[in-house]
Amino acid sequence: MKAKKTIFLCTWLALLAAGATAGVQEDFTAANRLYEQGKFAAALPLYLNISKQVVEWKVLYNIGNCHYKLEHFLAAKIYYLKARKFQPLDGSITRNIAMTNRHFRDEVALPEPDFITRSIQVLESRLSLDSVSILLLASILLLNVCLFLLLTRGKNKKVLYAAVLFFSLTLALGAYQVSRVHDLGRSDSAVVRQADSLLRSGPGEDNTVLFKVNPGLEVKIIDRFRDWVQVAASTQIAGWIEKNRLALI
Amino acid sequence: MRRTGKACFLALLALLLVPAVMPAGTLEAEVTASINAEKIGLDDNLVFTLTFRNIENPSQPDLSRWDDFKTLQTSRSSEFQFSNGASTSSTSFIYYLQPTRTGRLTLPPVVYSHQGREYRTQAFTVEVVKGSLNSSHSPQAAQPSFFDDDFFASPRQSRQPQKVDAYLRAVLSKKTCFKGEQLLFRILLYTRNRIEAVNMVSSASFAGFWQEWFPVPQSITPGTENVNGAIYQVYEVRKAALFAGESGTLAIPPLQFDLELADPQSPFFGSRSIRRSTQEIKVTVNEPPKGGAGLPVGHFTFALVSPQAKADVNEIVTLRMRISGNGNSKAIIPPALQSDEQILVYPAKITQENAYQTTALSGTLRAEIPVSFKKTGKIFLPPLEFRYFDPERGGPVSLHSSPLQIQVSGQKTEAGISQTLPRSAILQKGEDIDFIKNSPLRDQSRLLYRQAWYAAVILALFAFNLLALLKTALWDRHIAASPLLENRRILARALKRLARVQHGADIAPLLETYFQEKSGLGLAEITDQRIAEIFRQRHVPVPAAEKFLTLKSQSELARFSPHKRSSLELKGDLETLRSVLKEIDKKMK
Repeated sequence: MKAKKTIFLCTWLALLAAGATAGVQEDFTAANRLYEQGKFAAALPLYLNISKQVVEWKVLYNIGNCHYKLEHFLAAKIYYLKARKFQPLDGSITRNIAMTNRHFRDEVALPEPDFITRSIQVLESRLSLDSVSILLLASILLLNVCLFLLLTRGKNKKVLYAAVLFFSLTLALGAYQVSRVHDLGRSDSAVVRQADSLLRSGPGEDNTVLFKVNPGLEVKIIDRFRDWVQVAASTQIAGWIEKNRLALI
Repeated sequence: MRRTGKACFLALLALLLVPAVMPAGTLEAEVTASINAEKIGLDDNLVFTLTFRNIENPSQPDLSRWDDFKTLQTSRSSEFQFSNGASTSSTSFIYYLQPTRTGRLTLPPVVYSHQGREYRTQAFTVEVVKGSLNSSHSPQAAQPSFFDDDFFASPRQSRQPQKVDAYLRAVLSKKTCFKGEQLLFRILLYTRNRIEAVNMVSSASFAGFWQEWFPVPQSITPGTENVNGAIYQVYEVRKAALFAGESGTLAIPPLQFDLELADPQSPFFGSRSIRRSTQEIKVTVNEPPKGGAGLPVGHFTFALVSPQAKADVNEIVTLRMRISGNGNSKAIIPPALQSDEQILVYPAKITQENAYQTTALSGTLRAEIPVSFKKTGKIFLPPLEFRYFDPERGGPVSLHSSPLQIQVSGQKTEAGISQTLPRSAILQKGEDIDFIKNSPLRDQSRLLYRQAWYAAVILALFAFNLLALLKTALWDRHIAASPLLENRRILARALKRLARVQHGADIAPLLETYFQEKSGLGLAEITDQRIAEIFRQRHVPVPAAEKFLTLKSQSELARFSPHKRSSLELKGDLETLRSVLKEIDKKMK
């Protein structure tokens, strides 16, 4: 009887979740239709509303497209970069960012990622965070099975080796997942959003002005100090800038 | 130490020598800008000078888009610099600007593209106030002053005078010409002094002529000429191709140049500026004879070729026309190929380019004419005629292209309905962003690790791990093996066994096992006397000890006794024994 009740409750919850997603999907389809008809201004609020309900790179990408078509190039770039955070290897995002960059004055570009960073990006694009979670769970489960066997059947070399293997795997996967989750919530890049922004040699107005940068410039965040952020726009252009002059990605 | 010092000296020497031996070809191109004042009146003019160094024949940037300043007048000047055997050239455009409002006005940077590289000048901020300021800020004051030739007027009276012997001569290739005929105009500098720079200060614009100035060369090789027994070095400082636009007697006005003479005794950085002028030249321009009126003047060649002899009926073939020669190529109108029942002619793409030869300006006009064919079979394109006026012959010349024959094959389609454009005709008009994504959504924030059940499973598994660790590492090794717990376990086992007793005879072995575990004695050693002795040693209360021994004896006898104790009696014995065992256990720790 209890089992029947549990199954009923689970089914009901699943249907509720599916219904909620279906509503968002309908809005998304409607927004896409408006975009296809060239009604970018009408599609934009719909996409923005969807982005409040679900986190999905496609929604962010489409918002970027709407902004681009409405000639809000700074906003377009910010949304493309947000989408790229979820989907770093997508060609459309890269192309659209390149198109958007033509509308900005500064032509400085961040250096291309090195081989290791690129490999990690490829790995992360292939191995989603959910896949890592499932692998971690399986690894812990197998470790427990090995421990159970060791406790109940006494010492066995093969089981002991398997336990050591799964223990190492659990540690590695756990560390990787923590790192991925940490990266997910961290802003490591930003876009200059205010005109006449200055890069200084240190955090504070009394430091020397090194560079003047223009809106739309993508920068990498290196360090933070109170309301100041240390950024680098290339290997040669770096400095401290007020946080409120940046749109964090 | 000494060796290091020597090495440093050599490095320093090398650094000093490198710029000195650097060839002229490696000189960097440069675009700079300057203004004559940072504060002017609204009624004053601002002189904005844009200087191009080591850029051949720069085009004049258009500043008319500046909102805050209106361009009143512009002028152009060119300059040579001779230094250490190398020469550099510079061209300056001088703009006389009038401010349109008061306030702090900004002159934006001028951007100039040259050989794929972009040059950008600095921006200036000028404060403009009402009225007019001091006359020293006026553009007139910024004009170069007229230097005196006389070196004796120099403040240093003790210096030895240097004789200045430099003059300019304008040379025209012909004094009589036809309207539209090319004349080569050269300005020659004759000098016996060492000249460091030549700067043309006059406007290079002559009324009645269309002119094409030759690019200022990077270096000039001088010639020598004997003039009245004196040997002069002769530099060709400027050159232009002139084409008279009207008939009659036209005058080429004198052109003024500033010459920088090397003079080591001068206080002005070792040089002195003098101004020289060319002489005026008059030229008689005749109208061409009747047959040559309106034709390009010069000497030309003409050709029309097809890149292929065979074509498909739908294919577009681009015919190539070329007219080149000494003359004004900008005045050439290429002969047109007409559409007929055999061919369809599309608008041609025309390009013109000039080549600066030593003795003349030559031009080439190229036309690419796309044609398609309406019929199959052999198509003959008739020869085209190009006419020009040859001033040497004094009459018009007619040139004809070779007739073209093209074999057209393929299915005939109606013209205008089906036309296949060649690949070269497909032009990319623009670029756009990639289209939106419309595949189904998947909420990327609902990650597995954020689900409650996932956390619960992970925690449960970790809890199991922890408990297993505690059991093996702590419980089994330390707690379970402690004597206190062992004593409790012995009593618990005894009481458990008591609860399972069904017969009085089972009590004795149970009590012996209990005593054996408590005392650590062997089973053979356990006798009633030994038990009583140990109880005494452990200060077990006598009634309890006696009861223990009595019940043990009764149980041993019960095996052989025909009389069985009732269950009620057995229950009472077991109750008594339970309390006796608990009492004994307190003393038997």
